[in-house]
Amino acid sequence: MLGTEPQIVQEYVNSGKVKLIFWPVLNHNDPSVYATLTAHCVGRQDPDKFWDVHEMLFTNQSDLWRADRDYFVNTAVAAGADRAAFELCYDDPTALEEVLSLDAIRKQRGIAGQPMFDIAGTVYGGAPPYESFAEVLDFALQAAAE
Amino acid sequence: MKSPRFIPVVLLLLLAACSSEQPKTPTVAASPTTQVAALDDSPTMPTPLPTVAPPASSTPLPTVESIAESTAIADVATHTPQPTPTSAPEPLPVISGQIAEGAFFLGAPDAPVTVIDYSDFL
Repeated sequence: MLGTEPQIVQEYVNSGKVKLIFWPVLNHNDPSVYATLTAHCVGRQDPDKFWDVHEMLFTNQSDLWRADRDYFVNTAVAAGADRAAFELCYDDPTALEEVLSLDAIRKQRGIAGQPMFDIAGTVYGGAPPYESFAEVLDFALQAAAE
Repeated sequence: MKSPRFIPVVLLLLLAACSSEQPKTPTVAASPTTQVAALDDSPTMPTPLPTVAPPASSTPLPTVESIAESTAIADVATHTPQPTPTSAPEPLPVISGQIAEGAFFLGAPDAPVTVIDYSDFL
């Protein structure tokens, strides 16, 4: 689920206050891996399109459990990615390794579940309401300004 | 009927009274370096003001000629300069990209706060 992310992007990211990093967590085997690989390969072509595919994948989350290669290729094309270039990346072991390495790093950081949010160095678990996020972000922004 | 001898004496007394009248000295707030002027009838010197050291460098006063020149040059701008209104700082540019480790980001690279969203698409 996208949860409160759209609001955070609108209120804090677009205004330049917050830089948002999406760090993949691959806790659901192949569906997690290849959904993340899809977003990763689209992002390689155009980082802006990463966030388009990011939204598409979360919106159609229920489809991902049974999604196959064709599904992910069609998703990438629907997001505006070049089909041939996407398929090259999707089938490239190097790209897969990049995605798996990100997952390994988050494990090293002690991130076990999802979603988890590292806000200015402090990790919060769960999906709290937007107001709770805003409160923490405002506090972090105030601390950063001092 | 008064004797004429008393008149000069009265005059003398009047003259003495006028000479003893002192201007009232204002009281000065006590400070370690200044002395408070006492209000009494005895004549006292006014309390000297503390000397102020001149600035290390002083801008010379413009001469009559230079004023004339500057006036001629400044004919275009004779209005009183107005303070520049402060405007809100421009927001940082928002972009998307990849960080060094390969994860994708959205936002100003120099944003004051970074949020890492550890999420699974499922």
